[in-house]
Amino acid sequence: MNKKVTSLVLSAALIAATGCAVLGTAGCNEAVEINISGSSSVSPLMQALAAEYEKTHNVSIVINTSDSSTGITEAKEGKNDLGMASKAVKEDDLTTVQIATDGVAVIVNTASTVSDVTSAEIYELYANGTPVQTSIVAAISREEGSGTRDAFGDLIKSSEGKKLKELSSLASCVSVQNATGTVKSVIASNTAANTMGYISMGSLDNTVKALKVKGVEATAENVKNGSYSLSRPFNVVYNTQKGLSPEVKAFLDFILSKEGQAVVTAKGYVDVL
Amino acid sequence: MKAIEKFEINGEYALTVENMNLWYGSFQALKGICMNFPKNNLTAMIGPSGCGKSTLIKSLNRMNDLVEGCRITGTIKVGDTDIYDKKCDLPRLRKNVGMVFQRPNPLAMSVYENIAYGPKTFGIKNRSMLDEIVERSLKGAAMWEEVKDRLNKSALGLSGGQQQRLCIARALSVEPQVLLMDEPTSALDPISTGKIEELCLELKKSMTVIMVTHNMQQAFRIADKTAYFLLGEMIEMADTSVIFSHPRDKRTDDYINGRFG
Amino acid sequence: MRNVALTKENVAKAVFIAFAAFSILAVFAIVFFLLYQSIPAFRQIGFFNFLFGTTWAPKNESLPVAERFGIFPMIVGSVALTITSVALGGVLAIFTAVFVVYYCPKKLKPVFHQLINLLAGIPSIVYGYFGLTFLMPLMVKIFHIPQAYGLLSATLILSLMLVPTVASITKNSLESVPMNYYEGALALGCSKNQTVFKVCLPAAKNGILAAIILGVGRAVGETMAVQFLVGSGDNYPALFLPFRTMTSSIVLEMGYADDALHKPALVAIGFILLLFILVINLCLAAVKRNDSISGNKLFNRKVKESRGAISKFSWHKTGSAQDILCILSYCIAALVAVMLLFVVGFVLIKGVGGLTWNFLFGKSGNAQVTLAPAFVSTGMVILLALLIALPFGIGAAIFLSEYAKKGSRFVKIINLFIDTLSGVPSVVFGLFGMVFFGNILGIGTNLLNGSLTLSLIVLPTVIRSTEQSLTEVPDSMREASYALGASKVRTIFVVVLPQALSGIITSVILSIGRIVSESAALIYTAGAVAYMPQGYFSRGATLSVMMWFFNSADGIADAQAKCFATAAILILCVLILNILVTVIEKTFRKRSNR
Repeated sequence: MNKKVTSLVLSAALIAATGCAVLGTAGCNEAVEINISGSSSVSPLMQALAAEYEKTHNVSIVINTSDSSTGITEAKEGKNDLGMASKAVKEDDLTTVQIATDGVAVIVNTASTVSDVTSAEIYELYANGTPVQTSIVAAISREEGSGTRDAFGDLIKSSEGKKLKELSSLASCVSVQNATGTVKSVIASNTAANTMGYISMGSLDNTVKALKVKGVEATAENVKNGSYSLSRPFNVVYNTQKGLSPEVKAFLDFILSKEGQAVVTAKGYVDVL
Repeated sequence: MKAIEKFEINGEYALTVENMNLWYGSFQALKGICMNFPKNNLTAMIGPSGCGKSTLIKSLNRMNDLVEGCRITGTIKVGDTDIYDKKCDLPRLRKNVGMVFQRPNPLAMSVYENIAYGPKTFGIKNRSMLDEIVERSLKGAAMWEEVKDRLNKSALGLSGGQQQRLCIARALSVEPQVLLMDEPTSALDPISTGKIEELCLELKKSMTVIMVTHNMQQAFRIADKTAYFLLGEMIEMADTSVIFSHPRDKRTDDYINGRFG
Repeated sequence: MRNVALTKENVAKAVFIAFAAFSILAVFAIVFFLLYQSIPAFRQIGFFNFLFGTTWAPKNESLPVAERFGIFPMIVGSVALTITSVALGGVLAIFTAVFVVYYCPKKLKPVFHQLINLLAGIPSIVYGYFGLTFLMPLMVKIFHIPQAYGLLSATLILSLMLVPTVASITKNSLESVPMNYYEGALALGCSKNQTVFKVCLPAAKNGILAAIILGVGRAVGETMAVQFLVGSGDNYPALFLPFRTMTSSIVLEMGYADDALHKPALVAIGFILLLFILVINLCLAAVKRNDSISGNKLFNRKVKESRGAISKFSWHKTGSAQDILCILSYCIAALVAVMLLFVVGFVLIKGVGGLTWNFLFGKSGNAQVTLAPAFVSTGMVILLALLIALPFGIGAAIFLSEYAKKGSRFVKIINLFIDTLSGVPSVVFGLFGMVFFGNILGIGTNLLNGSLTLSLIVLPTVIRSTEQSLTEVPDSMREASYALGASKVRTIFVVVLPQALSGIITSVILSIGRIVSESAALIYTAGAVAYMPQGYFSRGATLSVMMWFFNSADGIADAQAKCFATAAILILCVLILNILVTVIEKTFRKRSNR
């Protein structure tokens, strides 16, 4: 009788195994694979580009999201076809191609009365916990190492010109989240409307409200003409020596073409045309 | 596979114990035991709790090996074979010297599987042979009629008395030459006890039965020989009628006449 | 030296010993390789600067290296959160267990049993997400605070998470208190409440202690839920201030940590965390050893002989304190049940709407992300992890219950290491998997790595739960088998192991639950991608990791709805697993009673 149960369990396991194997191979097709890895800030854009490209081309684009430095290292080691970086790249053996520009949007809950802030006000909130226009008393930052935090810390300065990133610790009212999604959902759910955060402009939607910085709205136009100061480049890199395979070259050409850049604009980023 | 042979028992005695001492760690539980168990007899061992009678019976098929820190000197022979000899094969010993425990301990299997377990251990796989053994063993334990319709039900569902007789049947299944019974009825009611006593009388016709009992009346009713134990020593062993009427030793007399214990 | 023959028996014994010793090897490997990878950090930062520095700013180049990596606030954070949540969760759990065992009406008992089992299986990321989306907004409203990150939110959720684990183990040990203790105390005239709280509860203290050890392990190691709720600010822990724990920092920053020092520093945090666990386990082992024999060595009082003087005693009724405890256990059990049901209800109601056919089984890729790959990945990880963990775990359990000399030094060491292994936080397993399987063995980040890592995680569960059910097999059955001349190996495999089968199956289901709910150990070993895995060498995200993915990845439409939908699926999985356990247990019970 116990044998029956044992064999029942075993056969269930076997069925599960074969099921997995079948499903696993079912996903296989003959398409050429393009491996892209790197910055999680760039990956939503890259995903949209890839989805668009896959519609018309028989390739399978696999995007492994991690961070800019991984993208760069793997490009150096030739482990990927393209690396994604959300910052300027200066590496001798890598070729860098800018595919878009991203603005960093400062966001609050849609119920907030605040609509316009200065860089110094943001600095004071993040550095010392000084409320912004009395109503915003808490803030969310990204974690150490995030490209968005890097850009934000570099761009936000005190009235004396001290950069936010040079601080050794943030104010006690600042919490840290490691994902744009979390930052956004926390701010969106914060009905008390007293928390500030920052995210990539491409991730903006109507669940949160983007603030003007010194009277300038966070729009693609303003980033392009330079009046909105919080911005950073989205780059892809590849190993110069290894070069690009025809398939990857075609994809990169697509990204930089009108159609590709249309995707960039549609997603809320700034094109490089 | 090598066949498991029975022990050769040529003399008068099935089992002999010579100058045996047993220690649990530093505590000496048995002191200089010398006794002989006659073939096809029922020998009872009586004595107050802690006198060593259970320890002794467990030594007879080396169940004491399972107890940590247990050390034995002296010799115990089944027929002419020293069972503590290094060459002695433990499975062979335990097959031929079966045991029934104080509390019924059926395995968590069906009635059938309980009986068939022993034969299967010794390589009998043929279904019809097993059927035959099961039937014979259950009949031997006088419970075939009771359980023949529920052979495939769990043995744990039987009553206490039935369980104990099942354990006896299980011991019979491997055709032992000696059957050790360690207070087999102490956990049972008088009716079940009566059945088992009857069974013992039947069993001793074909094998040697050695029984530890707490119950002097039981020894008196069924034993051919009775041995009295006290504080790790065997005080006296004789025909049951002699022990109960004219014990040689005063201590035995005290115990039997209820002045002690 | 005695010549040991190469018999079946000896070979089997050697194999079982090897399986048991595997835990020791695993712990040593974890300690060694984490240390190995953290040495660059310790060397460049300085061990004391690292441990007692108060500033954590890895990327701040305006500070000298030695001052950038100070983890003291994280240590304080971890310790504080563990203490508060184990205290609260432990109290809740023990009273709940007491209620279930002694006061629960018969009809309600299976319901509570199911509830506890169900909730023990809910993934921590679901609890964390519940805290993030329900508890924190609620707290903001109630306390009129700007944000609810901090010790209070984290403690509330974490203690709730600890309840099922601690309660089910406490319950088991209470149930194993012999009935005659209970009867004996009643026969002396004790009230039921007095008996329960003064006789039964102390009698189960070893089991309760074990439950609390597990609770501490889970609290220290809890990563995902904690990371959602502590807020990771640069503060020491306070009710409403965002603070860091060691685990939350690792998982928060590992994704982006890559330069020469940041990653080693994070691994070093994992190493320090591991040292904590080792110390805790050593302390507990010492405590356990002390109380195994009755009597208290610290407060040993000599009893004076009365010298024949006979005093007059006045007898009176006591036990009102226990009556209060009894009422308390009713209240707490009700509270726990309501809260836990609310979590499940909240998540299911929010999540069911998002469960469309396309979301569950549609093709997942760059254009849209669905759960189809997660189902496959989860199944693959469960299968491989169990295939590895079961033989090792059952083998070790057999050694411990059938071969080991109870109380021998070797067994003590093995037990210590198994406890240690089970206390190792899953994020540390993740680091180990990343470092050892990923880099040193060169497996890389893929499902194989994830499965290997998880097999280590579930190993203690399999060992303990199998060992438990093996020791519950009465010795009389072993004796019966030996008395018939059966060999040890035959006795184990034919008599003992089949009876432990329900325990083994339970351990399998517990392990599946653990695997399904695991995310911290998988993100950096198996990866977090939305593509269908092509085999064990591709990356793949299990269901829990997918939930993390939905919450954290940019540019996913309706991320919150997808999170809830995934959470609902996870809860349904747990529900199904639990029904399975009940059915299996019932079948076994029926069989053995017939």
